[in-house]
Amino acid sequence: MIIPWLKGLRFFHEAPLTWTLIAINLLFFFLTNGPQPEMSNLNKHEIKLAGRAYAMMHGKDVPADGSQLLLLGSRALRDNTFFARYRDFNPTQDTVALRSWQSKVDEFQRDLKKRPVDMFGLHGGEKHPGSWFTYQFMHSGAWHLLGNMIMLMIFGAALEALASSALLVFVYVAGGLFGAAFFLYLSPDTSAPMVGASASLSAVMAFYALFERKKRIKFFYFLSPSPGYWGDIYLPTLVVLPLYFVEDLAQYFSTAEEVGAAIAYTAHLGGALFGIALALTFRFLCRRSPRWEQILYASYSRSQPEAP
Amino acid sequence: MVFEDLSSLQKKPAQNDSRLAPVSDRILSVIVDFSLFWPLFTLLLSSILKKLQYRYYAAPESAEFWILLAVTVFGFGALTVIAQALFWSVLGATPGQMFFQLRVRSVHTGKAPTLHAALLRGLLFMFEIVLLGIPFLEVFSHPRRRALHDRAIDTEVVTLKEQGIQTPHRLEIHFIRSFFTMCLALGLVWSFATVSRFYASAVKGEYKETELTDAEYLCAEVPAREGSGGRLDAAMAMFLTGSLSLECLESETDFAFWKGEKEDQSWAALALAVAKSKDNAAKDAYLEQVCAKDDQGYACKLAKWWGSKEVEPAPANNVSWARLVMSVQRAEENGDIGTWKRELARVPSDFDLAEFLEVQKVKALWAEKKFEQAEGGYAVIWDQLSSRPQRELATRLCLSEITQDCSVKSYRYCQDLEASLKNSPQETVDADWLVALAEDKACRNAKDSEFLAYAKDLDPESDSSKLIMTLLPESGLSESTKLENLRSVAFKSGNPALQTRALFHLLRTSRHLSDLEKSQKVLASEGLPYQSELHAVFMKSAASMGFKVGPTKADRVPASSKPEPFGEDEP
Repeated sequence: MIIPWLKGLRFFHEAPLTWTLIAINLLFFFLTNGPQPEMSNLNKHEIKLAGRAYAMMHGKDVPADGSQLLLLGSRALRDNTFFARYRDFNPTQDTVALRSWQSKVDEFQRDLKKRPVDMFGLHGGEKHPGSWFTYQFMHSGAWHLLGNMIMLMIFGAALEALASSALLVFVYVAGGLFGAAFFLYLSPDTSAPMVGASASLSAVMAFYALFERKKRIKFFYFLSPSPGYWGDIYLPTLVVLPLYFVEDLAQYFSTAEEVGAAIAYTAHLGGALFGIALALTFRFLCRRSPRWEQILYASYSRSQPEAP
Repeated sequence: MVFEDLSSLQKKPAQNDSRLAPVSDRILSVIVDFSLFWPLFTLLLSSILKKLQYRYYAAPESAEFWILLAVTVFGFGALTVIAQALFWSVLGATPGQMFFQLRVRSVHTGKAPTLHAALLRGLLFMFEIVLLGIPFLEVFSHPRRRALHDRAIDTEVVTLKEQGIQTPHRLEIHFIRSFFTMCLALGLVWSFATVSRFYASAVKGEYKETELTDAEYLCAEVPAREGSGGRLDAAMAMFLTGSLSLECLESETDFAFWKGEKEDQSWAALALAVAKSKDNAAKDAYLEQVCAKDDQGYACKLAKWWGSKEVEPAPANNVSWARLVMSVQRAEENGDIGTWKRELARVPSDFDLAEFLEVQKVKALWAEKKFEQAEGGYAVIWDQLSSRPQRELATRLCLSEITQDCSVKSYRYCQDLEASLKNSPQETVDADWLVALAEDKACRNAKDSEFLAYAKDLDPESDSSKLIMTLLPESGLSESTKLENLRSVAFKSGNPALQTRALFHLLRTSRHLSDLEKSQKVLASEGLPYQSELHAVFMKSAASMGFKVGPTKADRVPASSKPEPFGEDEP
């Protein structure tokens, strides 16, 4: 086992914005994660029919295999183009099933819109402008929230201590917006809402990793209880990039569209690209003019050699 | 070298004051290397992984999936071997090893291994992983901490740190060697057991391939048949007799609708009408579709007959399985023994539902009151039947026993039904079976707290559930609630079998004249089973309450229900 390890918690006065962001995320979670509205479910037969309709809509061959139809049907139910056109699907084969199928899809679509993740998350369909911001504070579950908040505590606090709260909030929010834009650019028709602070945190992590690439992050390892087989190691901050972002890139390219993934890898990548671009820009500006260095290192002491 | 080269010149190994690398550092360096290289390799193999993922969800048992899996594993293995070999030969260490200040060095020269040697080291490294990493444990027992992949090419892993690791303690060596011996012994036993098991399965014929053109659409249980309806006719018959699941039937109809001709679609619509017979709106809509698709076909004629609940025989057809099953079941419902027996004598030559035929013959004999013959047939077929036909037969005979006399201490067929349920408690339980058992317990006034576990999946508002709770001695319902339940089922239920049971109990327990009036109307208008028995109970109840009785349906016994001599198909 080898996991990143906090070297002590930063108190509120040391990282006020980090704690504020954590509090906002927690508040959002508790407000939106109560009892969920009941969803109508389509049965296997209806999902296959959705798959058939989807294939015909896109002029593709309808798979002969029932499992492939099910996968295509699941894909259809995550696609706004399907919801825009399913009422035009009017074959003459099983007209009885078709009538009940259309009303079930209507009901499914109505139920989707009642969910908090659809109201506050970001997706390719109709959305209000506020969802570009609210999605950054929504999470789909307790583990999702916990993972992101741990990362925020490590890297958010580190960036806030490095530079300033203003820079942290800029990187966080702008990174989230850029990540969302990247996500929608690559998946414009998706109806599955995206939630989570991951795009924002990717921007924070990438910025910090590139800007402080010589620093090291503490990891705790445990191989066995024997002495010498557990303890701390310090890995370069730059190792975060291949560990995290190359992994996201790899997962994005290796996920079949029909199967889909529960993680918006493109949002992570968009946020990371923004963080990398911003870090490189700042480095360039800092070399050219000390004024930028003053803006950036408003609260930073260069004598701190240790890891966050 | 693993094997000493006897032809080589005697050379002293290079003076080596290098410090042996700590094992923990080596393990950590592997973890760091994995964390660094895994995402990169995943990116390089992403197109294959995408196909593999799709196949995993679409067809995990297909040959394509296994081939893709093998290619993926080979790809990851090859990339690992090549990456490791390049780093070892050029830099003497992988990135993880460099981070922990480890180096791989030749025992003779003290330098990094050649590319050729490094490739061999990498291959053996992968081989050790395939063996679940057990050979790696040799780093704990070898004096120079060298596992197979090191000994094969004469390398060792050293540290550049000031302090290395000591050579293994003798206890460490002894423990690891004992562990290896144990693993080898277990491996041999497991290999022998696995090979024996596969051999036994092959001899039994478990690896024969089924002949299916489209495994997902068409169900293996349904036989391929020629002629009108073909598969769907058989599928419908199998569904009606309980030997085909709804999911299978829907797959077959789906295939027919989207791939078949109009005639096939007509049969598919009829099959769905049968499948959705409890939903009147859907049933009627599908029945309409049957003739809309093909008004000249046999499916249309059969649908008209089935949908109208006519007492006349079904349209003639010597090959249709569904026609046979529907006719027999309708005759059984109507108590029309003549039609029942005639249909059982006209079985299509390829009809494969032997259990259905056997059960129907026993039931027909019982309905004709040829009890000895029926009991004989029952005894012959009972053990050969699968669970569902067993329970259906036992239910029918159990209810018949109870209807004849509700004062017996034990009912043989009811006991058989209960035993059958207890033998396979995980299977889905039909409400009719539970009603029969509830009747049994009510007649014997037997309390059985375990019985309620069978009924846990029933809808509490359903007629079956109401009747069961009314009948059970331990239900705890008040007398007025029981009466209300009985009235609800007797006068409003759409299920004739349940109505009959409810009427029996209502007529025996109610002291209200209004119940007798309504019962009389029900008896006069409905085609309920056990008409004569119901009539007898009704008359007895009416006499005790001084109710004036009008003419009932039982007074008009239809000619077709008179027993006829049995044909050549006696069990």
